[in-house]
Amino acid sequence: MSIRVENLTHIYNKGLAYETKAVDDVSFTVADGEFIGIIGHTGSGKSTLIQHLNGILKPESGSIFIGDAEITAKKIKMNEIRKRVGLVFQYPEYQLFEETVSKDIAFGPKNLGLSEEEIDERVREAMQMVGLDFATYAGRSPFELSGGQKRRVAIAGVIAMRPEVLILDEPTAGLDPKSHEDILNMVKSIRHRAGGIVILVSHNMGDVAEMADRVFVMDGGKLARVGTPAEVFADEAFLKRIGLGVPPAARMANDLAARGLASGRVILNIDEMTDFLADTLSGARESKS
Amino acid sequence: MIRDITLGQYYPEHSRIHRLDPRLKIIVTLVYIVSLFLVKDFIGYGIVLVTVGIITAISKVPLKFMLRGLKPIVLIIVFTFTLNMLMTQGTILWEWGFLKITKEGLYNAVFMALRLVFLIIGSSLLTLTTKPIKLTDGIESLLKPFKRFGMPTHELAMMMTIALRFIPTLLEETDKIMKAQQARGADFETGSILRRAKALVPLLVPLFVGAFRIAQELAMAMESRCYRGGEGRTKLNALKFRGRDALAIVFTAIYMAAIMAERIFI
Amino acid sequence: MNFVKDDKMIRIEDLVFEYGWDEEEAAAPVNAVDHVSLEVERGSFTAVIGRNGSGKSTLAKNINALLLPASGRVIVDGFDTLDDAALWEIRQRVGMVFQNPDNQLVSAVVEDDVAFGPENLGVAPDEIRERIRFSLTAVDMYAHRKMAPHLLSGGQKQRVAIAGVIAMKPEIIIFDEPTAMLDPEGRAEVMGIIERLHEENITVVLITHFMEETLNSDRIVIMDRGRIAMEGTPAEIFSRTAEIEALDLKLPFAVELTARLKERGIDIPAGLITERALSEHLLTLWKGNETSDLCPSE
Repeated sequence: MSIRVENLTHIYNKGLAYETKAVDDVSFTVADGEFIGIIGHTGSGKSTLIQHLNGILKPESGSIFIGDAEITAKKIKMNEIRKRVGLVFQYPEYQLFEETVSKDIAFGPKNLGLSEEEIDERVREAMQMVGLDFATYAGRSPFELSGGQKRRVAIAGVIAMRPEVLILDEPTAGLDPKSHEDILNMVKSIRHRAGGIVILVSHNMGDVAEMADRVFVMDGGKLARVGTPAEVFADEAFLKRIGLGVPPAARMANDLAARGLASGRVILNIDEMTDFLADTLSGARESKS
Repeated sequence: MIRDITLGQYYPEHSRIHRLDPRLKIIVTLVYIVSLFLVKDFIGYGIVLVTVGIITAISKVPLKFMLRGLKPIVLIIVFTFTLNMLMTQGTILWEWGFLKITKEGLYNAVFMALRLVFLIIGSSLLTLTTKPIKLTDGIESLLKPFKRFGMPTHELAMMMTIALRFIPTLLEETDKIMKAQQARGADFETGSILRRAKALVPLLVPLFVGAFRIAQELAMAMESRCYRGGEGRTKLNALKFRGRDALAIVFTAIYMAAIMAERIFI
Repeated sequence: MNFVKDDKMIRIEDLVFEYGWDEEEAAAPVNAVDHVSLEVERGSFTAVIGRNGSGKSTLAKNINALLLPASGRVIVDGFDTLDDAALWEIRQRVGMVFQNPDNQLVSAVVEDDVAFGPENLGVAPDEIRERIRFSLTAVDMYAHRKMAPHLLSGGQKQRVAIAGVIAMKPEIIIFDEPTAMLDPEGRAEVMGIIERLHEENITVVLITHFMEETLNSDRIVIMDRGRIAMEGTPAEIFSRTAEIEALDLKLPFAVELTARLKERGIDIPAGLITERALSEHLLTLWKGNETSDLCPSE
């Protein structure tokens, strides 16, 4: 499974005085198994872009291929797309509606027209993947759970559709540090077990640098930069200009470099930072003795 | 995008009509509506047309924008017209089976249709030139005398203010939930009525839960900003009668006099 | 109304608040706030952290009498929250800014929203106008005063909400996770304003999940299961790394880096909790090494 997007353009309020190009001639491909991070400030077009990938929004022009299926084609069945591409919206816990956790997770699979046994199996599997014990939580009302748990239920509801492409729009927004960590670990394990493509939209540069194979930078509806985290986060000035930033380690490394202590290597996380500083500082000490 | 729907059909402009006291505009609109029922012939409508034309010109609201307001009621106009045309007894102009058009019928039909059109145009002039929030202020102020009889005027006005503020938020919320459920394969568009009604459950439940959450949070925010009802409250934009309002009153009086004179003497 | 001149801005004495109230706290058992005592100095900046459901928000809502203690007392600038007659004195003194920028703006026009608080206080229209100008300028939103809130960005909405509080001339502003729903730019804007308010001698209480936002505070309070688990200056708090991690919290970047470098045998003094301070020290270390490299005979 791969994704190919060609010259995608989406216009809001077409024909009105305040028409805006939310997505402006965007093209890219994503290979099977890739983990993509998308960054961009609010209103840069990230959300609009990802909503095209599972057919929720229709483009003004351009086309999208998921595997060999063109999902922007006129006659495509929506369920065909949704089976392939799962989209977890921001604050997904606000879409829960069923009486019990298991019923809510079953909503997606049921809409795909699966058999009872198949649905049951998927619900169990999805709950396990998001780290919710079936025996404890399946029969409980989703409205009684804590914020972090609700979010897991909502994510399980999408995972249960077994999409080959999983898109998550700021899945950690508003969570405390522990729940944040838990959700990230969950995303990693899902990727490990299910394979396929994962697309993560996030405001947390550290998370994106750590998890993504490639980073897409959106600005003003355009795909402003595409590259590995090392490539994209190398240009702090540019990212700052468009309202973004770099991971803390890179920020500090750049600051040190500007004041004479250049690393001469890519530093995106705390491990790389520790190695560099330990090498430089203790290395010097050894030569001294 | 759903959030860009224009609310209350307000047309932003800086005309003299826009700047009039909203209370006055509401009263004038009521007077105008009464006047439409006093008109008895086409000369009367001539006066109405000229007056509405002048006001529209002063208000700088494009005619096209104004006529757009008629679109939703075209059906009602056509229905009234047809009914009046076919149901009135009198001199027969045309007949086919049980259908017949009379001279009086045609006259009545045109007359009633015009009344409806003027009614809509006149009242949309009010909403087109008055910000919803000003309209609320105006209604609150006009209802003030009824407070004595236990009418919660401040509360009603506050409810309208909050409603105006939160319509876009709720629309956005609806849009979000709908998309999220569609992403899980929900289908809001096909199937029988029963099926479609059932399909609304995944939309309505989160929407209600969300509305309650918004209400709860907003109530808390209002309380922490010292909200305690209308008692002892001041208003930033206290409504004030100005010179131009007096002018408008004179203008209205002349209009009304003309309509009456026409009805009595012509 | 009883008023006792108090040198402390907020004095919380053995506060107990019974069951949870808001969504997050609903899952928390029994006492949302469990025998908490705390004093906040005038003009200070206190950061409150702790996992979801630890009682932070409940504590905050007890400070401006949105919630009232089951036992114990909360005294704000000399006024007891249990004293009905003092309610409006307290709420005028304690402004609150909440997490969701959408759900705290009342009016469909920015300046009308800022006017809401002063209107409730019965301030004269001319004075309100002056306060709108003053407070919207303070958050850099005066140019947007005629706009509808739903057309603003999250950060801008949050700034309007802060202006609405400033317009009431409060002594204390409590921020309940004000940046949780914002993008990096919006977050930086809001934090900039919070620090400016602190400089202008407003007493600031900031509830947050972002450790970086606590580094410039005068004091950090860590809540856990309705109690105060730790309390101290940022430097003190973040020197107790193991305890912080046990409370499911994250260390600020500089603190974690320091810990790792120490493991590698690099000597770093305690208290360098900001990236800036740590960088300074690392640069001195490095320059020291370089000079010694240049003069091996030493």
